[in-house]
Amino acid sequence: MRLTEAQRQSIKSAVTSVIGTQNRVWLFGSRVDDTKRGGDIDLLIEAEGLVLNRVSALCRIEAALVLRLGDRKIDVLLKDSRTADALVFHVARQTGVLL
Amino acid sequence: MNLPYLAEFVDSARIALDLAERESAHLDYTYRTLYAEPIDLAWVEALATREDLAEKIDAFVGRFGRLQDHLGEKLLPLFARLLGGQPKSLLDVVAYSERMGWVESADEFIGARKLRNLLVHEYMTEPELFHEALITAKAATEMLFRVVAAIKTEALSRGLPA
Repeated sequence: MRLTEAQRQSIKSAVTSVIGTQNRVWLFGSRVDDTKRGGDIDLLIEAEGLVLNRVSALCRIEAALVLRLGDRKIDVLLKDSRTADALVFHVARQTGVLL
Repeated sequence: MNLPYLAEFVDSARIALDLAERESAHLDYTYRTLYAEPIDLAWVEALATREDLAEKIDAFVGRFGRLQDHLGEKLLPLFARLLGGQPKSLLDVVAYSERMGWVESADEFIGARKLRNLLVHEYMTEPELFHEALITAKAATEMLFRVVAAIKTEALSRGLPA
């Protein structure tokens, strides 16, 4: 996994600041591969309960991540209790690392 | 005579403001025609088969994104420099703009960039999420218009040459 411990903590705190502590965050995509360099930060956030306005939450998470990590390419997926399962979520869980 | 701005940035700031106003006008047209539509879940679901509606969304997202990028990368940093600010990153620019009252909320301005991904209809996995994104984008568009208006007011109040 190509994230520093400080970055990992920053991501966790950004997510928690918006949707609370009942969540799991997966890092997936190229950042999981230690042989690569750079690349987007792809995240899947799984919230335990219902996130009332997912779009607003995603926008606030984006801002919180940019404020903590700087302006870099971050791609966030959010799955709450009502979100239907999709292939991309399976792939993220299977290939990703839980932060 | 002391000018209330740095003269070396005047031309680039005026060009950037002119472009922002033109981009705003184009976005405003698409914004008005898009949100005149009865946007509900059925409307969103129809995007898969209605090329005319899908094209309208594409036009909206393209124009929204261009104005957003132009504000963050050109207009706001140039006006900051015009007034003696030296922001080095997007975060500096947005924080400066928030202090100046050009941007109401730095978080809101930065967070709105996420909307562009959420409004790519080919990526749509859930009509409900796309519908939420469209509703949120309406408010975000109005926020971008207010940024351009605030900069225009700043230019006028400082007597920037037209």
